[in-house]
Amino acid sequence: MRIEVAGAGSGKTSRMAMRVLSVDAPDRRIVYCVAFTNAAADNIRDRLIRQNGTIPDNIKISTIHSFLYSELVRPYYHLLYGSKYKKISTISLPSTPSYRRARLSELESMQLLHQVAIPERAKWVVYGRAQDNARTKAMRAEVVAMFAGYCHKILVDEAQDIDKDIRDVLLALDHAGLDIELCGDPKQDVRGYGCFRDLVDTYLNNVSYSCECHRSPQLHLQVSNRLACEKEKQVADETNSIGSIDILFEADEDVNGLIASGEFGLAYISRKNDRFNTHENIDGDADFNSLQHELNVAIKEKHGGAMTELEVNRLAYYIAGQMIASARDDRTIRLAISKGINDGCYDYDAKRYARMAEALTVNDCTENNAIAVKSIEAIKGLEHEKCLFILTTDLAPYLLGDKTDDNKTKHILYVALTRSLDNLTVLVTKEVEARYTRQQIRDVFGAEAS
Amino acid sequence: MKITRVQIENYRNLRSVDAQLDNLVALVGENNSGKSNFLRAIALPFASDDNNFGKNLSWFDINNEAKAEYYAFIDARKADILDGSIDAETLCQHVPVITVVVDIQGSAADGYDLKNLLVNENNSPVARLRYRWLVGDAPKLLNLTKDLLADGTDVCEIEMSLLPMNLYKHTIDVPDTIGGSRIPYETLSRFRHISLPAERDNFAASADRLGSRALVGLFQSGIDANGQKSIEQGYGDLLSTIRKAAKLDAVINWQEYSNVPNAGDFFKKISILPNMPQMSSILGSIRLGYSNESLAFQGLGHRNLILMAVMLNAYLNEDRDLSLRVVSVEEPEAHLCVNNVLLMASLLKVFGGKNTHTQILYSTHDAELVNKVGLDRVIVLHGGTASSLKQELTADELDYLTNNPNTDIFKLLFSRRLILVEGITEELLIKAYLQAHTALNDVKVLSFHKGYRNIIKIWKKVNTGSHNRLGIVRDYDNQPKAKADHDALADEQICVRTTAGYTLEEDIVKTGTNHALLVGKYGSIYGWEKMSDEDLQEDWRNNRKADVMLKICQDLIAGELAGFRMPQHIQDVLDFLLKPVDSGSSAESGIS
Repeated sequence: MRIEVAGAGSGKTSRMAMRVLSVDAPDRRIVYCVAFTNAAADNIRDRLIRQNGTIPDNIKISTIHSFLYSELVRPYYHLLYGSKYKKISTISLPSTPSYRRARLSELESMQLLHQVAIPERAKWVVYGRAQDNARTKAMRAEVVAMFAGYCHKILVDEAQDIDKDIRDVLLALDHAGLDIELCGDPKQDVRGYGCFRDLVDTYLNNVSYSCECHRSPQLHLQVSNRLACEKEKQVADETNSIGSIDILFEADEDVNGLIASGEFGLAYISRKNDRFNTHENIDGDADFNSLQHELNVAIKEKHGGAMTELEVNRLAYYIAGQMIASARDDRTIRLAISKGINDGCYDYDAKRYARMAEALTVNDCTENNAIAVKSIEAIKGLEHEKCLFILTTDLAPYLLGDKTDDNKTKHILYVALTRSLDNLTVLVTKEVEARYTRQQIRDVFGAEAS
Repeated sequence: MKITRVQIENYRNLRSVDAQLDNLVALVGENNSGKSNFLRAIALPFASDDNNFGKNLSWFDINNEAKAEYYAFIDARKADILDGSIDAETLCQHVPVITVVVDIQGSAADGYDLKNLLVNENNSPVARLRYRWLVGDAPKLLNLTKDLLADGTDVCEIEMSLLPMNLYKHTIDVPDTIGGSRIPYETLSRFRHISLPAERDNFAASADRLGSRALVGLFQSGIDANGQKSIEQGYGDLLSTIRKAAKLDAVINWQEYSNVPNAGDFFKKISILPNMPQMSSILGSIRLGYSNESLAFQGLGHRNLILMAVMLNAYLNEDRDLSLRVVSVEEPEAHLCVNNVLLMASLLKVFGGKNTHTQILYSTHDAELVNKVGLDRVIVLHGGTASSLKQELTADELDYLTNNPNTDIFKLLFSRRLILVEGITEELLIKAYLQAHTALNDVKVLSFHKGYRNIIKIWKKVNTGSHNRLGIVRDYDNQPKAKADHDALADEQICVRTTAGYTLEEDIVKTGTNHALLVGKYGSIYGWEKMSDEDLQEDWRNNRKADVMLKICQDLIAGELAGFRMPQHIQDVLDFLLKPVDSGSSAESGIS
C-alpha cells in the first residue's frame, strides 16, 4: 500500500487523473479509481477526458460505494453467504440506533441492501466476519484470488473519508498482494473516522507528502498550518494570490445584507444554529424513495398473490407521486394516506402509517428567519475567490490554540481556513466574542489581517 | 475464454446432456443423432446476431419423452386436477422445461468479464449462464388444464392445447440462488453466438449477390463513423454523376427546359433526393472473383473453403467489446475434395491452438476433421445423448485410438452392424459372402490388427443401450487365454468368435463339404487333388494365402461355389448381426 498525504489545494484530483493514465496495466487488467462522492468521481472522469480524449476501457472510475457493491458484494457475496441482494435501497433511515438497526434488518429480509451497509458487506466478502466457518474462509480465499486475477491497481482519492469497514476491505486486499494507492489529507477528516491517520502511521515508510498548495495565499496557510504537524505544513505556490484576511464581528454587521450581497462565493458555518441554517436535511429524492418503499411493502401485503411484481412497483410509484403532489400539511398528509386505504390499495397499519407520514413531511427550513449558508462538511473540495467563514464557539478554541487534539472539530476548522483563493472573511459570532476579546482573535490572524 | 461444460435438458431429441467442451469442439454422430440440435441449444443462452432461431421456442422443441411424461401425469391425476387437490405448484413440477446451462472459464484477467455470473458449485466459484423455456404463470396453466379437461376430453386428443406456448416464456439468468439472478443486458450482450449455417452454399453462388449474411455482417461491423461518412459522401457523388449522365433534371423538371412559356407556373421544381440503400444491401451486392472471372464460376467446395477461411480469420481477430464469441459451423467439410478437407482441418487446428475469446463448435462426418484436431476434442452424439471422448475414455484408451492414425472413427463407433476382423483375407471373404446374397444389409467389415479389447471397451461406452451390434472375428493362434479374455467381453450387443483351428484357412477347409468343394474346383490349379484336408489348409496358409482367397471370393460372387459354407465362427457372428432387432435370442433368421 502506498499513501500520499496531500494538503488542501495541492492539486490531488488532477494528479490522480495523471496517475491513472500513467498506470500501464497488462492484458486488459483493470485499474479502479475510487472517489467518495459522485461529484468527485465525475471530476476525475472529466479530467481524464480532457487529458486523454476518452477513458480507456480498463479504467473504471466510481464512488467507493458503487465500487464496493458492484465489484465485491454483487459478484461474490452470495458465494460466501448464500443470499443475494435484489437491489440497493436508499430510503431514509431513522436516527435512533435501535430503530435504525431494526429498519436495516427489515430491508435485509426483503433482500434489499441499504447503501449505508455496503462497506460492511464488502468487508464480509474480502475480510471476513467473526462467525465464518472453514468453508466460507476457503471460498473467500478463492474469491480474493479471482479478484486479484483481474484487478491491476486500486487508487483511492479523498482517502481521509475511509471508515473502519472500508479500511478493513483495503487492508484485506493489500494483504492479498493487490497494488493499492491512497491519496488524501488526514487534516480534512471532517467525519472524524481517524482511519486514514491510522494508515499513515502504520505504513510510515510508504507515505509521501505533497506540501505545495496551489490554492490558498501564504497568508491563509500561516493560519491553517498551525493545525498541521511538521511534515504536513504547506507552502503556497508562487503564483498564488497574495491574498487578504478580513475579520468582521456579528455584533457590528448587518449579516443578512452581507450574505445577500452575493459578494461571497462560499459562505459556511460548522453547524446550524438559531441564526444560521444549513440546507443538508432536505432530500426530496430520499423521501420519495422511502414513501415508494413503504407503499411497495403495503401493496404487496394486501395484493401480493394477485398482482405481479411489476404491477406492484408500478402502482407504488404512481401512488407515491400522487401523495407527494397532494400532501402539504398534517391534514392533507392524513387525507393522502387514507385515500390509499379507501381505494383498497393497502390496509391500515399504524407503524406504516407513521412512516408514510414521516416520508411525506417536508423539513421546512424557511419557517424561522435563519440565514441560509453551507455547512463546512458540504463545501469540502470546493474553493472560491472570496469566502465567508462564520466562526462559532466549537471551532474558536482550536483556532486560538486552547484545544489541540486531533479530531473532527479541528479538521472542520482546517477545511474552513483553506477554501479561499484570495480573500477570507471571518465573521465572529456573538458567542465567540463573549469568550474571547477582539484583540485575541485578531492576533491569531497576524498583522496583515484587517 | 470458453464454455467448458454444457448441460441440456428436454431440447428436441436431447433429453439430458452433460458434456465437457474444449475451445475447439468436433461433434460427431449419425444422422438424426442430435448434432444440429446440440449446436442450436448451445446458442440459446447467448446473445445472437441472427434471428433464425429466436429465444422463443415451440411445442415441437420440447423433448417428446418429457411431454409424454407430463401427459401421462395429467392423465393419471385427471380427477385430482379437476377437484382441486393438485395445486399449481405441484402441477408445475411436472411441466416440461427446456434448460440449457453453460459453464464458462477464462484466464485470471477474464475474471472481470465473468464476475457477475458466479455460482457456488461445491464451494468453488463457477461462471454459469442458464437459459430456460418454462411456464411463467403456473396458476393460469392449472386453470386452463381444468377447463380443457372438464368435459371429459381425452388427454391425447388435446396435447398441444394442454401445453400452450403463450404461457411459456424464456429467461436467461445466473442460477446463483433460488430463482436465479437476471443478467444485465450489457453483460449478456458481451457473450455472443454466431452460426455459420448451411447457407454457405449461397456464398458467391450468383454473379449479383454476395450470398452470405455472416460475411455481410462482418463487413458491416468493420465500418466506423468515418467509413460511414465517406460511403455516404461517395454515394452522393455517384448520384450527382448519374444525375448529369442520365440528364435526370431535364427529364423530371422539364418545365424549366421546355419552351412552353408558362410551364413553370404550373409545375414546381422537383428535387432529386438521394435514397441510399441499406448498408447490408450495398455490401451484399459486391461481387468476388479471380481477375475478372466471378467467383460464381468456382465450384461449391472451393467457395465454401474461401468463406470458411475468411470467417475463421476474422473471428481470430479479437473484438474488444466481446467477452466470448461462440461460433458454430455445420459440416465445414461440405463439398470439399480430399485435399481441401485436409486444408480445412489444419485451419481449424491452427484456430484451436490459439487462445482467444472465441470458441468454435462444428459438426462433421469426416474422419480427417476429427483425427487432425485431436480425439480429445470430440463430442459423440448418439440417440439424443452426448458424451465427450475425453470424459468417457481413459487417457490410455484415447492414446490407443490416436495411435491408430488410419482409424475411421465414424465407421468404428457408429456403424449399426460392424464386424472387426484380423486381416485382409477375412475382410475379403465376408464382403464377398455378403455380396453374394441379395438380402439388404448394412454390415460394415473393418480389419484391425490388434487391441480388440480396447476397441470393445470404447465401443461399449459409445454404443451401450443402442441397437448397434459388434461382431469380432479372431484367430485362435493356439492362445487359449487370449480367447477366454475376449469371450468375457461379449454381451447382448457384442459377439466374439474365434477359429476352432489355428487360423481361418483351417476352419474353412474343415467346415461341411468345403474340402471336397475346394478340391473339385481348384484341385487342378493348385495341385490339391490328392491332399487331405490337413495338407490342403497348410499349403493354402503357407504358399498362396491371398491368391486363393481372392479366387474364392470372385467365385462366390459369381455364384460358382454352390454349397460353400462359412466356417462356424464367422457364421455365428453373421447370424448375430443379422438377427432382427426385437426378435430375441431364439430367432434363427439371417443369411445362411
